[in-house]
Amino acid sequence: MPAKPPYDPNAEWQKFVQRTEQTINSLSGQITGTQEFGGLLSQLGMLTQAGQRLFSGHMENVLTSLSLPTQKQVADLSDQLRGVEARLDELKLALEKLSPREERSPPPRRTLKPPA
Amino acid sequence: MAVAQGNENVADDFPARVRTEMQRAIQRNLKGLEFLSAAPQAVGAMEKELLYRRGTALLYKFKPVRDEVYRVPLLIVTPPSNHGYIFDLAKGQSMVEFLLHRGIDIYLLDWVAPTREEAKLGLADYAEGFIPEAIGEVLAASGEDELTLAGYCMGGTLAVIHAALNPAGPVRNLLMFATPVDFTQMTMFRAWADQSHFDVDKMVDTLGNIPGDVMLGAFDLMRPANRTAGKIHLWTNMWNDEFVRSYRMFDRWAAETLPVPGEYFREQIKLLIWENALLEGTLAMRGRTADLRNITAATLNIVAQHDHVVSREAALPLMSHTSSTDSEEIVAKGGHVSLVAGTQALHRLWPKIDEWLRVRSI
Repeated sequence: MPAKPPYDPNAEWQKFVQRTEQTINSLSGQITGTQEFGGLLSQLGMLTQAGQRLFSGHMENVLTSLSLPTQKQVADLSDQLRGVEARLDELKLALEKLSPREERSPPPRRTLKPPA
Repeated sequence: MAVAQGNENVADDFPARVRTEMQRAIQRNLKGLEFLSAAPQAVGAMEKELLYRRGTALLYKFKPVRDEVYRVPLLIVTPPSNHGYIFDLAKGQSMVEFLLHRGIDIYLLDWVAPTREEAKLGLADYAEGFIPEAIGEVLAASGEDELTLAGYCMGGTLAVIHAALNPAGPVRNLLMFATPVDFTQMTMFRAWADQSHFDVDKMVDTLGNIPGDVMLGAFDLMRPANRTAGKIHLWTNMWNDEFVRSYRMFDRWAAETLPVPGEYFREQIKLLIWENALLEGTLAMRGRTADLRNITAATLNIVAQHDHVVSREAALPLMSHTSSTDSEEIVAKGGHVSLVAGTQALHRLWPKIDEWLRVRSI
């Protein structure tokens, strides 16, 4: 007869957490998967967007009066940096195509066959 | 780690078990403090070089680790909302590492956050722009005339759309991970984005690009207890360095969910979720229709048993609606993310992928 595995409180705890997680997820799924919840979520989303617009408008005025960059200016800067990064990558690739690096190791042979 | 290694041996020795638990409790506190102040977990196991870049799209070539590789290269398409390093998290937990060592020549189409100008990028810009351009680069770099196109989640859907639009294209094999095709089976998303209440135009016109937080919030809402349970598991296993490292990598990947272009999001909702146009055969792009029956490539359709994002039913048409005479499905243990990066995948799934790929890559 196989020996009974020893009691492991850690394993039991983890099983309990897993079971609870599954139960909550399952119960929540019954609510969140409905059209009614979807409708509520949409309304909440629109309210949040409206609130954010209002708040960001006010914040923009405050930040401008304090001579600090606004969210839009930071986003502009971020886009510009992304653009510069992309352009640098493109230039590097174009240069590599014009003068391939000779020190590169030879490409692998493409002749590998699966084992019989 | 001594505490972890000794764990199995303390079985029925009560004093030893108490000692172990005490040590773990101390370790939890010490390592917990480290965890709170630690820099983001490093990710990426294998060396790679940039081959192509256009705006939000980057194509990488992984450096081969063998002198001899299979003839047909593999191009992996990442979902536009996520970084591609999920395929190459760390040594021993990287599908890329696994397949490179088995002789597959691998390329990755990855994304960075779109700029506000790129908010106008739509499905066609991906399926008929970035993907064929990346394919062209892969074929040029490898000197081959065909390839295996792989995709994960929406990256898979975009790859399928591309294959369906280009029946005479160079796609020899399709390797799909958790790829939704039948969007009527994406029940939760359909309920949330139902036409009767969800004003996608207003959302896109207001926000431009859809922030990563919105995408991540939607995924979290599908399984609201996961994050808290994850934190509890983390605390319980704080003494275990491997567990913590793995947790931090997955956590970083989720936290770095990317914004997606507004137009892409709008079309995803209208064409895929509302109209189910890919499965219905009505998805038209640049004068052509994406007909699943055009797909003749050998197809490996991999779904996760406990995937709360893409159900097996959502991916099933890949087995029944294409003209491929060589289709295979694998239902793997695990969830949406562990399918491509979990430790279980290393032992169970990736060897099967290798077996499937190698006979179709010569």
